[in-house]
Amino acid sequence: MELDRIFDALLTVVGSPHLVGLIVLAVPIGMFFGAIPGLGGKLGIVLLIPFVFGMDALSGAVFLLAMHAVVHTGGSIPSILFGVPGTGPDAATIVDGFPMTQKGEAGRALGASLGASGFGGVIGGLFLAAMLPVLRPVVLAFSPAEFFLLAILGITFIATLSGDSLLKGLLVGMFGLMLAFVSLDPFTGVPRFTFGQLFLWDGVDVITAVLGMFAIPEMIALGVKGGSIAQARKEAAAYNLREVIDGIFDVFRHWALSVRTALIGAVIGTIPGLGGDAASWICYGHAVQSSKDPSRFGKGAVEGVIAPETANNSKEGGSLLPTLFFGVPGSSGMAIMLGAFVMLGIQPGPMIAVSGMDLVWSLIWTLMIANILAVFMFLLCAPVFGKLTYVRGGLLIPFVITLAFLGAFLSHAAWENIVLLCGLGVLGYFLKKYRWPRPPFVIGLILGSIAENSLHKALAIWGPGFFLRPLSLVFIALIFGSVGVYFWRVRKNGAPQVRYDT
Amino acid sequence: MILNGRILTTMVMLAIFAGMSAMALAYPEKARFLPLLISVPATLMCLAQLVFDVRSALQDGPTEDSAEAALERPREVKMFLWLAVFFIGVMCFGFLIAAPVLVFAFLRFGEKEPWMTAMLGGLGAWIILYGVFTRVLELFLFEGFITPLLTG
Repeated sequence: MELDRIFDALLTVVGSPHLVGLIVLAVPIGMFFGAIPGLGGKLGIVLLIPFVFGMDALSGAVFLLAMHAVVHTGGSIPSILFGVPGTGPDAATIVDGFPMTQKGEAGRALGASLGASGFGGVIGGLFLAAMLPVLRPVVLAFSPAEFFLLAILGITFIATLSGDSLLKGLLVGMFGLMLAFVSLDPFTGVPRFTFGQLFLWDGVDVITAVLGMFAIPEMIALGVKGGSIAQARKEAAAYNLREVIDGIFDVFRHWALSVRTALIGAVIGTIPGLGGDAASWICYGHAVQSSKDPSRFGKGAVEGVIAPETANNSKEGGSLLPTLFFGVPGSSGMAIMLGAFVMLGIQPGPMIAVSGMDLVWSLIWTLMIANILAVFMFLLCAPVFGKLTYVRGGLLIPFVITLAFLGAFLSHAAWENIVLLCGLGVLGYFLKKYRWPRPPFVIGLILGSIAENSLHKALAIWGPGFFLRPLSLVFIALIFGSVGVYFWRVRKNGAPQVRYDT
Repeated sequence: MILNGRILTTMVMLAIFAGMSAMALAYPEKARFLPLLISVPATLMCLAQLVFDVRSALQDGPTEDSAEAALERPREVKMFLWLAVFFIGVMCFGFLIAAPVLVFAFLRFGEKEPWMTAMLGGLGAWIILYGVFTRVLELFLFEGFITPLLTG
């Protein structure tokens, strides 16, 4: 009986002090890796792998998954408080989270992020559980044609994210796309835009690019402006636990958006290659697009925090699907997790559906328990985190610059990334200063290579006729729908007056 | 004078797209297809943005923005110099040596913090870099180009 198996797995996890202890230990570690810019979940798994040698398969998998599941919960802390993304997918949270801090609403933003992360994580786990019976045909139905069109759908969100200057937004998005082409061409092997530099052969590192476009400009701007990160008066913006809890309730006040973005995130997580960056930006774009008043976005709209945060955590549940059942990692973090599973003696693949369902259900419960536990741990510490924003900017700048340098270096152990970081940082500062919206840069960078690889593969398999595949037609309809909605809104309300000050 | 920061930023973006278009022309057909598909329209769009910026500058003349920019310029120069100092310091001496010294220097001489605060900042940076990253996490931190020569 499947229900017996499901609840036996729950009892196995919560009834074992050893497993509960591992989850309790893993959650703050995961939040730490998320909160330090440039570390992130991938590095977290890599660094923790030596610690799970000698553990049994279930304990090791539970420990690593619990750590990885809450990375983005921690990653939202520097995004909201300092305008510095803890991990790439947390960059979307900056767009509205940081302005909320500047308005003195750090507590509410942290609460919304916290609630959204926990909610997203639980929905992701439930999604994973619900999808098990229909998993195989759905994932196998995706071909390069659908990957390409899904990437294009993401890129069309550039228009939505462009705020009050569509032209500038498109140009920054195109700049991101062009940087995505920096690498060895996957089909001819020709180095493109690499300037003879080996470190660029694998492409521009996303963490370096995001740190360059966001962290360095923010620190320069903070140094130019002076004072603390929070622009509001200290006494006006001081908050207590009630404000954090109020932020958590925002997630339920916007329950429809929370459910939609959690499900979108989980679905994107199931599709190998798209990853968390795409999930958070697409969900942010969806929040803007579906809002009755898009002009609030970029200035501290709480929905702009909720949407990417639910997606960030829910996509972990989704990405576990192809990882466990097909041995195809749903994200780059899951690629490393896959290696860890194999090291622990777990053999991902279709056979897990026959002989490993107990383990699968234990992992699903771990995912949900870790996310709920992270809420309480975060809740205890949130008031302390919020006070950090009133630290004088000058005290923060050298530490954040050092961490940004460190993050850029550690991401590929390449000192050249520090050069790239500084170059993009200077450009990013002037883009910020002259109000070129920077979020489209990230979406272009993330989706550019996915679009190119998938297009070439689709053309090689089907030729130009791939557009006529039934699933392709669904995606084409979604793309036209997305663009159509934007122009309909422009015609009705004028260009959305979204200004990205971050 | 109409050549302001706004126009210069657009010109930099234009140069990037035009340069990438020119470079892409030299690649094989499959390798240049998508880059050209993006960079050529982007170059044209950048030109349009440049026209908008120049027209705006000609119409508006000196604005409050330009006065504010003049006030900000010394602070901007200072921040860019510090970024350069951090970059050169880390490149020459690596994280473990340069970062604590630079954190101290920035706090003491850049921000005029008290000696004790600056020293605690530098010490804190060293404890995090050496204690957490090197000892606990056993990560290799970049040593710079000069440090290995000095330490043999």
